[in-house]
Amino acid sequence: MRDRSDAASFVAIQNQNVIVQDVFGELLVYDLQRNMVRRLNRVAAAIWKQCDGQKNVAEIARAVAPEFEGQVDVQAVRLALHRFSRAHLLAGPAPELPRVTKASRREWIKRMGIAALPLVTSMAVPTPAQAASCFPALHTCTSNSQCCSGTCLPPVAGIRVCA
Amino acid sequence: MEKLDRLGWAAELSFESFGLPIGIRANDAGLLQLIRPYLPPGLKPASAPVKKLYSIVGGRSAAHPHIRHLHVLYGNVERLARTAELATVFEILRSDVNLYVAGNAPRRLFVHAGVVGWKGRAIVIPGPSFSGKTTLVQEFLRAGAIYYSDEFAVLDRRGCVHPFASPLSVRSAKSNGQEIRPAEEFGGSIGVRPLPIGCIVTTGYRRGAEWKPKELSKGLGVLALLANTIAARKNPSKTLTVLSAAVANAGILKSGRGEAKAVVESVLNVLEAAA
Repeated sequence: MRDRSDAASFVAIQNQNVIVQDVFGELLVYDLQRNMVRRLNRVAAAIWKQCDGQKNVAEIARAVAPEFEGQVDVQAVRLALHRFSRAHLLAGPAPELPRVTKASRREWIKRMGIAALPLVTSMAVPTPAQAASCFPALHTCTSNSQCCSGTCLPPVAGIRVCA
Repeated sequence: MEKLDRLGWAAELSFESFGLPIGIRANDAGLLQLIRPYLPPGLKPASAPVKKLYSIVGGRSAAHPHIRHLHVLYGNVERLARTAELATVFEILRSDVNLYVAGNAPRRLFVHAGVVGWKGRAIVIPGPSFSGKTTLVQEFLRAGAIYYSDEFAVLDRRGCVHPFASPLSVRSAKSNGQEIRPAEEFGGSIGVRPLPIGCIVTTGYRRGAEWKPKELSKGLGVLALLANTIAARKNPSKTLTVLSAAVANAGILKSGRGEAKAVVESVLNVLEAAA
């Protein structure tokens, strides 16, 4: 059954709260508000770039398919848009994914090939303390994860230190 | 800070580390001689007023040598440590100075990683504490690699890695803590010039695990570095630009691992094949 929202157009989010970096055909989208980075593989990146507010699902699929030897179809575009929406990468809503059985989904992936799957990987950007070496014993701390021991002791005179 | 300033300071030293002027003062001149091994490598004379000032109030005073007070360490006005163990104070000082430099260096991007050099290319091993980076670095040194760091990959805007060659911090079963050991002990010489990255190894030790690497895309390679980048939130645009340049000519391998030797042999074979 054709989803009427397939006729809608979609806009990739691009504003001052987002930094986009091309990495050899993949895209990294840094969400400054959420301190999250989304990595779009080549298929997802190509679909996202077509989200210009003018094209509907079928038109996006037709625009992207030649780049991937015709393997990207409307189902792949719908999946990508759904994933973009969950990752806050679209300015508006995405079409609902049609309900399919797991077997149908597996069959579809097998037919398309893993390489033609649009993938979005999300990662929280670390704070300096999260990225750096853990703190040694008795270093002041604010959370357990900062300490090599795994324990930031309760405050004494208002100061917490690593066990 | 005024209260701290009013205490008697017997000695001060200042230096510049990766463009950041840092000062350390102590109420006992002997303490400043003892802390030098704990300072970052490659220090230069400070060319600007100090922005970060550490103050060490030593526990013993010449006036009252029989009274034992606790040693206290401040970073600017923040109390960082208060303990009877001087070695602990120095370890905390080292940790804080490193974090300050890594988070604020104006012209470099610091990634928490082990780094060695092999035939003009860098091998970068990003990862959190306890992931086994230092063990891998030691094994690479035994195989003839050049030592760059067991703490940070220091990237310039072209994505090349500069040395941060402080002595290796090796976990000691004997002391239940860490031992500081020079790279030369593992057969390694110290790197000097910046190197482009040849291989990024994302791995972690798991008993019984087998090294079966799969190659990741450049985008996933950037994520692996980003997860360990100290100042990522401070300057996201610069971070993404530098990391993208860093992976440009790098192979990116990911796998769990058991013993380090198998990883080293495999990675060096990959680099030789790519050369």
